[in-house]
Amino acid sequence: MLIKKNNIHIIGEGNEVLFFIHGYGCDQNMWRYITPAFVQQYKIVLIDLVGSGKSDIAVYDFEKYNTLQGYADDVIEICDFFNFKNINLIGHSVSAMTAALVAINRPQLCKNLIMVCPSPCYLNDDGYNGGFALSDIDEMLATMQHNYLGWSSAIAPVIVGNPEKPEYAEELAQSFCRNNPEIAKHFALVTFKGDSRTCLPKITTPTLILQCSNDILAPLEVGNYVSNHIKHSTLKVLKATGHCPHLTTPAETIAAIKHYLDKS
Amino acid sequence: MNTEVHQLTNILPCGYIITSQQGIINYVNNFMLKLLHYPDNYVLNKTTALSDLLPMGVKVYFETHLNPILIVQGHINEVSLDLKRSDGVLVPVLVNAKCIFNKNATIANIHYTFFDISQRKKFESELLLASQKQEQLINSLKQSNNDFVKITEELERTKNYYKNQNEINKHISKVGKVGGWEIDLITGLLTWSDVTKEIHEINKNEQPDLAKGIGFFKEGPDRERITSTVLKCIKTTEPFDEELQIITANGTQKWVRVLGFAEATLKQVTLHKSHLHLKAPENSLQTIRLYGTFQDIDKQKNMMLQLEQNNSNIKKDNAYLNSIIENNSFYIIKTDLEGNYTYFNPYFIKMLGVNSDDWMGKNSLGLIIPEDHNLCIDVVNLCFKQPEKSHYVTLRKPALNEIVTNQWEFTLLKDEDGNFFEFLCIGYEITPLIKKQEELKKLLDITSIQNTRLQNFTHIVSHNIRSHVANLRGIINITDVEDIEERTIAWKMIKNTVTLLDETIYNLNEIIHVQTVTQLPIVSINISHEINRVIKGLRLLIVDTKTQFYFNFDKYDTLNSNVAYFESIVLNLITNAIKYKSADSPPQIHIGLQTIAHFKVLSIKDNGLGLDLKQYGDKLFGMYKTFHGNKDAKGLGLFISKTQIEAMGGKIEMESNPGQGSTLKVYFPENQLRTIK
Repeated sequence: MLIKKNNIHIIGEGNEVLFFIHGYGCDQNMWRYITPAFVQQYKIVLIDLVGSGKSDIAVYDFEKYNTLQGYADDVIEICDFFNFKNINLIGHSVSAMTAALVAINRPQLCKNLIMVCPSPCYLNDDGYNGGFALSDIDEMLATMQHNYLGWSSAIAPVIVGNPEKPEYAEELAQSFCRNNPEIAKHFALVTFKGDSRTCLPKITTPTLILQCSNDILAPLEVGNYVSNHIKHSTLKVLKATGHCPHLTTPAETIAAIKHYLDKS
Repeated sequence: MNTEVHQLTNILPCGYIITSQQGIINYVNNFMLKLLHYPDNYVLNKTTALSDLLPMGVKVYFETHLNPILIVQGHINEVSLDLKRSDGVLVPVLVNAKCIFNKNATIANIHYTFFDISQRKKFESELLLASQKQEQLINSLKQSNNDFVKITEELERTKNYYKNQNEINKHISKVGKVGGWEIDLITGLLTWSDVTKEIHEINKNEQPDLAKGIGFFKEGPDRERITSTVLKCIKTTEPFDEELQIITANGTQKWVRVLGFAEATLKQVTLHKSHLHLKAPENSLQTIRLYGTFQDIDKQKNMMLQLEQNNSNIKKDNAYLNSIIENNSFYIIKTDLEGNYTYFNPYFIKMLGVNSDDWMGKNSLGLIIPEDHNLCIDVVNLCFKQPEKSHYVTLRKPALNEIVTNQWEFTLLKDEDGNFFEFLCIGYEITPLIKKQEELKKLLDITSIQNTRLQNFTHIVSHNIRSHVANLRGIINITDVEDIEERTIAWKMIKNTVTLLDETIYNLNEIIHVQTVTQLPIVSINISHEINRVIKGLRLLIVDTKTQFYFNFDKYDTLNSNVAYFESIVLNLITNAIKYKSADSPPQIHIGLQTIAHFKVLSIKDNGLGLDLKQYGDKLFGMYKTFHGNKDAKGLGLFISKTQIEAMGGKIEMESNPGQGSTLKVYFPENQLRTIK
């Protein structure tokens, strides 16, 4: 039941847990270039947040998932169910804040926190530069809505000379980043209108912050803010640009994570 | 990038961008610069990223959805988004992208194409508007339905009122029992007939005297009234007629009607001793006998009282309802059994402009349009067959300036003896409802035509253009750029393909420029030229599969079609023929032309897998139907071809047997030429 709910996958030969939480828009497949580097040494836990990927959409509860705490509760439930202890919790983007909530709720559960491109608040606020205005969020929702209209996917062409591609990619394409429109919209609002800034000082777990050089969603300024408000934090600025270094420059990302985990 | 490829991308009719794996733009073609309103050959800053060309919200979508898919999947197809032009204006585009990988499976660079879809957006917003209008109409329809429900409820109440009144009338007209009575002032005897005794509920042997008889009247006003009336009658000899209440021997209170007459004489008579005080003055008439009838009117009287009560209740509590009965909201008419008018309410007269004097007694069919006469007669017959309930019918009448549609309820009424008596017809107008329904249906039709055209259009965009782009991609992929000879050949092939692509886009534009639903341009086309164009576009696939073509028509033969639709249909059918080829031999495709009635019939015959029409016949041209378990099959091709040929007034047929290939026949009507200025 729980496994179906979050589409949980546990792989790897180690004992120490490396728990990955994907961010807004995608699912656990985001980590596919990262995980092979850790399977020898760690027990790797991959989940799809409820409402994303191949999770059980039927249990999506608009009230529960109206704040990130809903997702954090799910992570804690999974850890308790499998009796995980001393885990290394990796969260991307908005889920870095979900990971932070887990660490605040259950400090003993978490050995390390790793935040990939975190942002505690995307909207600009008095004296805080999150990078976004409300109208930007609406624009994004409209673009999303337009692609859900489905002219393109409904009228999928009978392709002549379709480039060959691996089987898994075909299968992957069915679900990856293709979420239920209503849920995707709700998650977008929770993500982009949320404000978790007051959480940061409550984190006592050692934390690695991976920051990209040029990330529209999480500018350097936001990385510094996060780092300055978490007690035991290390800020690592990657050469990678964009918002998904684990996809675009997996080698650099792996090296940064390994370096940090080995040191601790 | 070498100069030739550079030149090549610059003649592509779409935006073309190459970025590094990190998204930094390495190359941008002139079309793209134009699309973004930069001057030709403008040089972008070396650090400009693709996301810098996107408005903020789209950037987020790009970073959180598209880029991850692109990197994991290697490509993205037909994603709709907005670009930000240099002047800040947003331009909608359809994006395709493909990652080019290094030998070690890392991404070397990413190629993007951008198609301007401003026109398609117009279609989409038109469609959206139509569906919103439809939604509004449905809502207003719901509202008027509610109104009609309310009216129907009022109608029900009115009907009940009429029913009650009818019942009452029936009872009133039933004559109650009548007895007789007599007072002989000379003998002093009171005589009651048996019926009178029965009414008083006394034994037939009993013979009460006058005092006792008076005593049966209810004490108080009733008894005082009968006493004074009888005295007055004796005195004046004038007859009387009174309705009063008695208390019977069994104590039952009853209404009775007493009629009395006096018999008088001028002779000297001696009255009975008990009536001495009734002696008339001398020389005047002396009443010697009173006689009359005695009638039980209890039921009738109570009914009347109830009716009065009802009436006053209705008046008091429901002046509103009364006004409905009188004149508002409903038509109320009555006819005799032959259908001749016996009553109209004022509302009927006013709304239908009927002159009451002209129509009273005339047949009611005269006010119904001839097409509906049988309907009306059917319902009348039904009323005779099932008189216990009401029957409903919708009838149209010519009114002042138009035809109005009314919903009627017919009830066959009986008289007191249970014989059919007359028709009560209650009606209300449903013309606005009918009008709204018609409007809605029209709108739905338009929406669905628009939808079909949009589907066709979108299909052509993705299908026809795709085949050229695939060709280009194939040519680029297989060409060794270092080999000068091969490069020259590729250059030639690419040039040809681009010319074809340009023609396809020209044809699409032609469709786009047509704004109205009905005016799809149809022109005379050279079959040989158009089919060769399609075949050239499929060159790689044809060479790959060793497909052979046989043309059984003259190179000057023509037929009438929309060019883009023709291209799409032929492309579809040829692609199908190749896709479902037999495993044993390369495809052979025979294309023929014949004239059947007023159609030019293009037949495309293959030697492929074929299929069992008995099993699939009715599903062949449906949406999302696939028959061979082929992975590429999306089940749309035949459906789209069918809608396209039907949009031009033609049809498509298929003959096939498993293992023996298929023949598709496409019928193009001859007499349909439409050009657009």
